Formats: sequence, structure tokens, C-alpha cells
Amino acid sequence: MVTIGNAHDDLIHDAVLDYYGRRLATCSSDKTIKIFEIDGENQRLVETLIGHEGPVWQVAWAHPKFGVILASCSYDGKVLIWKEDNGVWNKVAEHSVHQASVNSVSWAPHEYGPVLLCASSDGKISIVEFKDGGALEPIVIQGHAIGVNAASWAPISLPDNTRRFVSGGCDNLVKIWRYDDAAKTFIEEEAFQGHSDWVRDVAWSPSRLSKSYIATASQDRTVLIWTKDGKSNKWEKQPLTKEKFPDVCWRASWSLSGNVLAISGGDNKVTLWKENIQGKWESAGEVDQ
Amino acid sequence: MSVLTSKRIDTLEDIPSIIFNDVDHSNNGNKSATTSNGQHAYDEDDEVNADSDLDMKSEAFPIITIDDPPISNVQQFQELRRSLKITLNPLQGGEGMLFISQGDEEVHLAPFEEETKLYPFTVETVDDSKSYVQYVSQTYEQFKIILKDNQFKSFDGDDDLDIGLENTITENKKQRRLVLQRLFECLSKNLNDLVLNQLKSGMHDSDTYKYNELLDILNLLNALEFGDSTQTITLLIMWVNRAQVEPDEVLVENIMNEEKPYEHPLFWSYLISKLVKRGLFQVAVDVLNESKYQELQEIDGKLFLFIQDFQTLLSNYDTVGFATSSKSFLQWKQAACQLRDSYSDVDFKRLGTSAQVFELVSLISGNHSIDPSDSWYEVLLVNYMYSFPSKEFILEYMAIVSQNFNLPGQIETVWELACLDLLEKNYLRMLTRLEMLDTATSAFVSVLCEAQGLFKEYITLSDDDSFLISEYLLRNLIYSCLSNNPLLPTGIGLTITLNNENCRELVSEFLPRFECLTNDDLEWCLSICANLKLPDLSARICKIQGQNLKDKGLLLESLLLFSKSGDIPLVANTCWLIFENALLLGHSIGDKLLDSVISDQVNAEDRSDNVELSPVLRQCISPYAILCRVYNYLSSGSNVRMGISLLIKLLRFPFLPPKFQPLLLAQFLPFLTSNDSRKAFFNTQELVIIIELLNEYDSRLKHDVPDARKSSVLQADLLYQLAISGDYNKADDWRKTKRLPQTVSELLITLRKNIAIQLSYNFSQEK
Repeated sequence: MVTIGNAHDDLIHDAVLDYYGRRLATCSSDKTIKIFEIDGENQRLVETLIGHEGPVWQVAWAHPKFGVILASCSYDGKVLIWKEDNGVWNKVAEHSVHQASVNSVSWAPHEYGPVLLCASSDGKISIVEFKDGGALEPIVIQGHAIGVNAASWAPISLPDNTRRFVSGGCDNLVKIWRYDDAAKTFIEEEAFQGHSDWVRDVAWSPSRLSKSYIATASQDRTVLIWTKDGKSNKWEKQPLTKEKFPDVCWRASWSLSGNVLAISGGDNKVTLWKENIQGKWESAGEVDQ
Repeated sequence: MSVLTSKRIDTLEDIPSIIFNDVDHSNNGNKSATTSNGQHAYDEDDEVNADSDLDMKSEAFPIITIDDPPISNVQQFQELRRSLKITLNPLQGGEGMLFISQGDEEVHLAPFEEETKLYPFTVETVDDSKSYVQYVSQTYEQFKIILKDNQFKSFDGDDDLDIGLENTITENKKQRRLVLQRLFECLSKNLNDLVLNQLKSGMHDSDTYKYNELLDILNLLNALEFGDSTQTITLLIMWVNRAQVEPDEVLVENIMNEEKPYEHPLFWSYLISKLVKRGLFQVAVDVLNESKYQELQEIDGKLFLFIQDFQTLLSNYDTVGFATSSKSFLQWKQAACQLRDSYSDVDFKRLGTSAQVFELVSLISGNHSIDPSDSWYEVLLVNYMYSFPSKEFILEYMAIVSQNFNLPGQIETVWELACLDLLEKNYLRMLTRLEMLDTATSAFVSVLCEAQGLFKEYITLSDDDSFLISEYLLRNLIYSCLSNNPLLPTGIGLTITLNNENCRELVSEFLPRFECLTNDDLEWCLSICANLKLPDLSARICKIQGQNLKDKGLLLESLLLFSKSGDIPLVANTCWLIFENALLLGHSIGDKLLDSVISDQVNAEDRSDNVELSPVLRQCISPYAILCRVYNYLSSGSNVRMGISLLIKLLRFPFLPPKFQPLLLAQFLPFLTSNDSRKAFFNTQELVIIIELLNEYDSRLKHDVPDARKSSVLQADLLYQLAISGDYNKADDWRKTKRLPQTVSELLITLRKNIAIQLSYNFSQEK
């Protein structure tokens, strides 16, 4: 694919390819979301979605079994759900329980249904299930003092199917949340201390084959990897690098298969990392500009 | 292209800043040895010659540079609180996009133009060349037999508690060893073929260099752990000579081109010395024969005999026999020692030459003085060959090596480090290095090592006892394969073979992402679904592939797949879309295959591919089939009445979406307008039917809920607008009508007015 020029009128905050890599959704400070169709080296702008009243921070594609559905979150405190039907895009739902910027949205593993996880600067985390006809059933929990910067679902865990997610916030903490059937809400299962400044991003590896991995990127210029073995109940912490990164680590992303971690930050580099057989993290590549 | 470091990156300062283009491809001058007649002395057919073909060194991990870079000034970039963000492609592990974002929403400064672009990149974490895909898939197929077999997951070869008939136990162990030996040979051969294929294709790059390094490691592993014990010396000789080619070809030529090669200052001290140290006995004997030293018989007879004895000793070195019979080796060594000891008793005329030959005789008798040009593995081989050729003494020989070399400090290449690990029996570290070079090879090697019992000293990697080292590496291999479309079938195959508890979930997650390029690919996907009893997945794949075919314009094939998926609304929607296109065009959509299948003029037997339509598809496509027949009858003029009759049937079809009705009703327009010849086209009864159809359309809209009615009217208007603004060249197209109505409302009024006129006309005619 060649460089997509002038995709937006302002800075781009997210770009996400859909499940099949055929559609690209981007969002920007220009308050719009754009949908591109990707065909090999070519791409074509097919739609510009307008509806937010502030910069749009993140977009997330729902699993295709629910249809062509996109969620977006914005500085305006709203989460909008967009759906395509026969080539026509419409806003089908609006989730506005937050009192401040919504910083991240992510869909749950599809086995749980169309469930969305939203993290907001108001310190709350909301989990919303979309019912037929666009009805929403939200669970809202107090997540982190000052604000929640990111949240990420755990992959489906067999055999109990317990729903979990991880969040990172302005209180420098990383928290793991578990759904409690009795309480009908998510309760705090773990609170990890390790970062000395805001946690900017959290990412739970989608890997289903081995142990659990969580990567947390922070303003303190470090990335921590939290791991837990299949039978162990204890999470282990390991810094990705011995020395700090040159600048803030903004984003941590796992590859689809969950074995490659991409870190991007305030310097001009993106580094790729892979765990070796001895459990140490080795550089698997670097994207330099 | 990816290049790997030979050491772990512990600090950010360790990250090299070189870009791919800076990788040194220069020739380091190492060449293969030749005999005096210029032929390669020890190149085997189809064996890759390590240094002569590939001279790159692995020094760095992959660094990708972006064309048209977005950040021109890093300091300014940081001051503006910009951040570089990344998104990864869900289909291809090494692909993604970069874009400039912003950290703090409070500080917002207008972006530069280059900050609003998306920059795609590719990090080739997995080699997706055809030859590599073939290597992995072929090796996987060969390894399947032991991957499926639990008895190869661990080793009980040294278990004193073996119970059963001794002969049976021995035979089983032998068979097991032979299976592993055979698989190791397959792996080495496949890897060698991979390097050869990449060299032949001219596409060799740093990946090829890595595979070449892997071969060097595998050669030592084979010699020490897997190869037949009779072959140990031979395999060690092969390892050293493949890893680094010596003596230098140019020097050999220079020496052997001399009139009397044996008098060349480097003949004994370099050429013969290197051949002897590297176990190239036959080459050494041949070189001596051609060195003209025989003239010494006249000049210095004692020296001639001394050299002749030395040559005899070289030709008597039995690499196979000495590997198994210590007695025969000791006899040979005794002879070598006797020759060495005889040196001091003889008066040689040519003192310089005799001293050089004495050095060589001392070397083969076990007194090796290390030369600065010797490599550590040459010293190891010399000790192994001439001290005592037994694996039991490897650690002792390594101790001698360590006394003379700064190991691993002075080692630069990954293969040497891995070989060092192997010699120290540090198999886990060796595997770590292998994994850095290639995930697939390391996984296959780990399976063999596990089965051979090389990991029995290690505690398993996790608290869970079932988590073996080989399983860890195989899982990594699965990850790599599943992230790479050409390798995805191997990844799926591995997942199923290993019968992981999440096997079905993994297959469900990744199989739909496989890009089917042929019917065979699709059939393979569906067979996987059938084997794992995943009907929903099968349906999903049919839908995805159907959509792909539809995008490529292969309508019938896509409909067949949609139908196969069992998604009736999808089949119906697609058929109505085809119907809509035909309605807008004013004729069939022109898909020959689809048209031939729906045409009742063509017998099923005459069709080239004898397509069978499912009842659902037959039912869904029938409105389109009827519409095509309407167009045929009306345009040919052969049977207009039949066309009209079918049109009326179509309009009365209870499941016809109302949005299509106005365009179908518009087909009556040419027959109702004021053309004299057609004025009496419809009789009164027919006109009444058309009035009923118009009334039905009105009635249907009235009975719809308000939103649906609004939607139908809007859609009908939209379609009508599209129809009248489109291209229509056929002379009898209804849109050629004079004073064409511009909206659906106008159309309905026009129709009703003209019906009234015709009714009046018919009435007047009847009178």
C-alpha cells in the first residue's frame, strides 16, 4: 500500500484495518472518521463519517459476524456506533455516559457478543452491550483517579469464559478487572504498581496458546510486560528494556497472533519486540522514519 | 529482509542505527580450496559452499525506513508533543501503518501537511518467499509423523526401568534413533535446498545468509548428537570445512603453479598444514603427489622417505574406522609418533623443509602448536582427530581451545556462538540463537532434540509440566505461520496436528483470513471445517469467498458460495441487487455464465461446467431470470404479448420489493404513449390489469408503516432518477419515450392518463 496523502485535515489519532484487512478506518482531530477501501496497493475513500464534536481518538471494528460496525470515541465524551448497510453508513447508536473525553474503545472477544469497553478521562470505565435496535445496557465503574487512558480486553479464557480486561490510568496504576456474575458488574482483581507516571496505553496479548501477556506503556518512558502462567496465580513484571526509552511511550500494540509487540513513542521510532525462549524480550525490528 | 543481531539488545544504545542498504555484502575473500588442476577439492554436489557464495554478516535486526519521511526535525516533533503511532495489519504480521498523532490534547498546534498522511510499512518478520514456504511446509509434512506421536515428545532412552523383552527394547530404540536420524537428514537437506533455491533464483539476501548459518549449526548438531557414530569424524570435518572454506583458492593456485610447488614458502606451513588440520586427507595426498617433492629422492633421500611416510600416514587415516575402533586409531597414532620420534635420528640435507614437515608430523601425532591463523574450530578438530577421536573428550578439547582463544569474546557470528553452546551442551541457549535466525528451523530442531533427550536436564519452561520447550517453539512457529498468508495452511496444519485445546478456536479465528486464490484453496478450507466439525466457520468462509468473487465480478460463483453458506437473506439480497442492476440497464447484466445458467434456451447438458443451482438460489434468482426473458421478448418483438404477460406476473410477485415497481411499470410506457401504431396495443381487459397493478403499488405503500413507506418511496425515486439519467442505447428502451416523466409521481400520472386515453380509444372503437 502506498502512502495515503492528506487523509485528514488535522492530526490522525487512530487507523484500524478491519478483520479482513479490506477496510481502513481513520479518525482525527478534524472530528471526522474516514473509511477507505483497500485493494492491494490501492485505496479509495468511501465515506467520511461526521457526528463527533471534538477530536476523535480511537475507532474499533466490531467482529464481522455482527455486521459492518464501527465504534468511535471522542474528546466530546461520546462513543458513537456506525453501521454500514448496502454501502450506506449510518450512526446507529450513541453512548454518552461519560463526563469527559473518552480515550479508548475496544470490542470484546466476539464470543461475548457486541460488547464495547470505553475508558474516559472522567476516571470511569464503561462496558456497553448493544442489543437489537441499538439499545444500550451500560455498566459503569470507577476506574482510575484523575482519568483512564486506555483499556484492553483479555482474550477469551477457557474453560470458564471469565471476562477480564486491563486498564491504565493517570494514577500510574495498571488494573485488571473481572466480571462478577453475582454482582453483575466488573470488580477490581489486581492493581499493579510499577510505573512512576501516567500509564498511556495497555494491551492484553490476544495470544490463546500460552501464558497471558499484558504490555503497559507509560509517560515514565518505560514499557512493562506483565505475565502470568497457565496455573500460576501471580503476575510477574518485567521491563521491556533495561534502560528507559528516549521519550514517552504512547502506544503498545500486539500483532494479531500476539507474539510481536510494537511500541511507539515520542521519539521518531517504532520498535518491534519478541520474547525469546528464555523469556527475555528481544528486538524484532524497528521502523524508522 | 531481516538481519539479526548476534547478541541480545539490552540497552537502547545497543540498537544499531544502520539501515538495510548499509548491510555489508562485500566478499571477504574466502574461497574454496582447489587442487592443482583447478577443480574444487571438496565441494559436494548440491552442497552450498558457505563463504564463497554468501558473505554477508548478521549484525542488526530489521530496520525499516519510510519513504517520504513524516518527521523532518525530531526536536521540533518532540516539542510539539507529537507522537508516532503504529497500527498493525490483522492479516499480515509484519505490515502496518504509521501516522503522526498527538500526546496531549491540551496543546494543539496546526499540523504540517506531512503530518496528516498515513505511512504504510512492511517488516518482513517472516520470509514469505516461495522457496521458504516450500521449506517450512515440506519439513512440516515430514515431521508430522513424530509430532502426532506422543512417544517422541520425551526421551526414555537411558531409563533403567525399561520393562519388556530386551531385544524388543533395543530394536525400538534403534528404530527411534533411525527415525530421528532420517528426519534430521531431511531437515538439513530441505534447508540446503532452500539456500540453493534462493541462490539460484538470484533473490538471496540476509535471509539466505541466516539459513546458511543455520546449516553450519545443524552440521555440528548432526555430528555430535544425531549422526551415526561411525560418521562422527567425517561429519566434524564436514562441519568445519563447510563453515569456513580454507585454504584460500588464490593462494593454492599460486603455490601449485610454481615449477616446484613443494619449494614454495607456504606449501608446507600453509597449504598442507590447512589440509591436515581440516581432515582433508585425500586432497593433501593428491597435492603432495603433484608437488614434485619426488625429486627429493635424488637430492635428499632421507627427507623423501620421511615425507613419503607422512603421506602414507595421511592416506591411512580412516575416518570411519577410527570413529568406532580405538585400537586401530592407536595403532595409526603409534606409527605417527614413531615417525615423529625418528626425526631427531636422521640427518637431513634440506633442514628448512624437513623442519616444516616435522611440524606436520608432530601435529598428526598429537602435538599441535597453535598457529595465529588457526580458528578455534580448527583447533578443536585437530584435537579431536589426532589426540583421540571420541566425543567423551570434547569438553577437554574445548578446554584447550578456551586456553588459546578468548571465547566467546572474539566470536562475531551467530553460528559460532551457537556451536559453542552446543559443544558446552547448553542446548537451550543454542536454541535461543537458532530461534533468532529462523523460527521454523528452531522449532523443528527442538522437536528432534526433545525426542533425542537433549532437554532432559532442563526443567520445563512453565509450572505446567506439560509445557515442553519444543511445544513453546512450535507455538511460536504457529504464530508466525498464522500471521503470514502463504504459510497459513502450515500453521493450521500444525495447530490441528498438535491438537491443542484451543485448536478449534484458533482455526476459527484464522482460517477465514486465508486468501483463497484457487478452488483447491477453498476446498482445503472447507475440508478443515468438515474435519473439525465447524459448520458455522464453513458458512462464514463461503460468505467471505463469495464476497471476494462478487468483488471480482464472478457473480454466479459468488451466488453459489452464498447459497452454500446457507445465508438465505444474503442470497436474496444479492439476487435483488443483480435484478436492480438489470432494471437500471434496461437489459440483462451481461454476465454470460449467469445468463446461460438462467436461460431456459440452453440445456443444462450443453453448459460447459454443468452448474447445479440449489433450490434457494433457483428461487431467489428467478425474478432476474424472468426480467431477462421480459427484455428478450420485448426487444426482439417476436413475442411481445408473452413479454407483457411475464412483466405482469413479475409485478404481481408478492415478494417483489416495492422500490422496483415503478421501474417495472415504466416498461408499459412505450405501449401506452401516443404512437399511432400502438394506440390499440392493450385491450380493455389488459388495461384494467395495469390499473390494478398501479393500484396495488399505491395500496402496498399505504399499508406499509410510515418509515417503511417513506423509505420505499425514497428508494423508488432514487432508482428512477438513476434509471433515467443512465445510458440507454436500445431503440425500444422505455426511456426513449417522448416527454419522459422525470419523477415516479409523474410516471404514475402519465401512465394513468395514457391508460385513460387508451380506454377511451378502445371504448370508441367498440362503439
